[in-house]
Amino acid sequence: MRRVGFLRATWIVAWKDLQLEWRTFDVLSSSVVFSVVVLLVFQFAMGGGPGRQLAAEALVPGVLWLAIGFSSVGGIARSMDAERRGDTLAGLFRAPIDRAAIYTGKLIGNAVRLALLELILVPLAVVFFNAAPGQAWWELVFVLALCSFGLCALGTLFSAIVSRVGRGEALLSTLLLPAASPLLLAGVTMTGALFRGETLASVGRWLGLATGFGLLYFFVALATFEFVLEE
Amino acid sequence: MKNFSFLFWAYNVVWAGLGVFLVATWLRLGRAERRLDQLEKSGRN
Amino acid sequence: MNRSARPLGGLLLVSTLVAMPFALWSALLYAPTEQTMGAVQRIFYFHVPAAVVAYLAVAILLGSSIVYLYKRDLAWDDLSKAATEVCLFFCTLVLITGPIWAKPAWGTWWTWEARLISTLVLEILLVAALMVRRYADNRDLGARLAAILGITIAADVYVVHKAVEWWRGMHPQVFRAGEKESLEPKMRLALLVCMLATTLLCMLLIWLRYRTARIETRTEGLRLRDRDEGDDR
Repeated sequence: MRRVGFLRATWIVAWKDLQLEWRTFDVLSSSVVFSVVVLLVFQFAMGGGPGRQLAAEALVPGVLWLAIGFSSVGGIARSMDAERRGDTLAGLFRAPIDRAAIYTGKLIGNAVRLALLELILVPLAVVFFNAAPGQAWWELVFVLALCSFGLCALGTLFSAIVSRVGRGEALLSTLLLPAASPLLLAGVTMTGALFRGETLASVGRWLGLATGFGLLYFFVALATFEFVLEE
Repeated sequence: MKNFSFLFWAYNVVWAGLGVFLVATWLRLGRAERRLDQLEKSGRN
Repeated sequence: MNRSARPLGGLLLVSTLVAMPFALWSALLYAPTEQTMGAVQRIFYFHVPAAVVAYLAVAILLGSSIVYLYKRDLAWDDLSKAATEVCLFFCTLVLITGPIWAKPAWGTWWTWEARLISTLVLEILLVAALMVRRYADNRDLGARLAAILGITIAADVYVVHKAVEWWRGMHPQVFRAGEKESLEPKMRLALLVCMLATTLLCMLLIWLRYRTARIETRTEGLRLRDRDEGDDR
């Protein structure tokens, strides 16, 4: 049997992949969607809001929340993925426990992981950008906790949905980031206010938004998690 | 007013074509549904 | 659901076919040309209805998702699928016609305003929902997951819209304020006619897509039934 030449082999492989892409638009569609999502999220974080100039201090909240947003997606995805690989999700489901407990348990796991991440990220941001929330450290912690909770609440639900589906990994960021954008916006706005020395009360409605959002999706997830896990 | 008349008639031609497609689809769907009704009924005996 | 609805569906088909030329007439010939923006402004007569209709489809998606989770009848999932796809279609139309109009009107293709962002977010989430459906191993799983997503998406887009509105703060709502005031009676009528025609079109498309989905589902049901019966023998 004649050995297939290098160039020919290369062409065959490339052509196979191109054909596959042409027929399914798999990689292209998910990359396009992901890039659009990235642009969207960048704009939320860096847009500067009404009439504000893009000064260095303005960058910090944006960059911080972008980092939190993207790494939370990765962390939450990896946590669910571990379950999928070991097929332990089915095991959890058959255990004689309340379905909601599985959700809440995973939620706490994700939240703690995100909290640890922020514990490292925030001081780093303060150091690198030489910006600080003045005296309002506790308020900052509160804002971080609130928005991160909402992020994890929605993220845990989405990661469960995505884990039950074939090509799920790309989907998680596509789903989570746009859907959680109100939280990212709230986080950026409130953090920005704190860094500028304003009070949390001045951005009170964002506080309400973040709280409402978190609670809404926490309860939606509690109600629907069982359906996600069903065989 | 520029060529709005032309545009109007042009779009109507396009719509007429789409309309034919929609009606054809409608009829084909009807036929498929009737066939399915037969198949489902015959199997249920 | 089928037999009794047939004449109603026929009515829908005929009225849509008839309404569209009227809409075209009202948008292109009846409505006066706007002074500042000129001819391009006419896109408005399809852009706005398309947006309204997309949100109408989201409402239908929300309803059928909830009912599916409750009743587990695949017919409701077929409706959800139809609503999702038609919504995606109109959403894409909005996102394409918008910038075409925006460039001459506002001098820019895009602006980070509440409506635009929430429409873009809706588009992304709808694509993701369709992907979840497609990649799920079996029908029931896909339907369940899509239903949960449908509910989440509907609620979420509303929140995104509100959030961005707040975020943009006192930024003059460049657009809405301008139109609503200077909307001449002729223009208002044209918009109404187009709104009616587009709504009819949306209903027709959802109906057709729903029927197609039903056929697919029923065929699959027959295939499984025959396969199972074959096994029994």
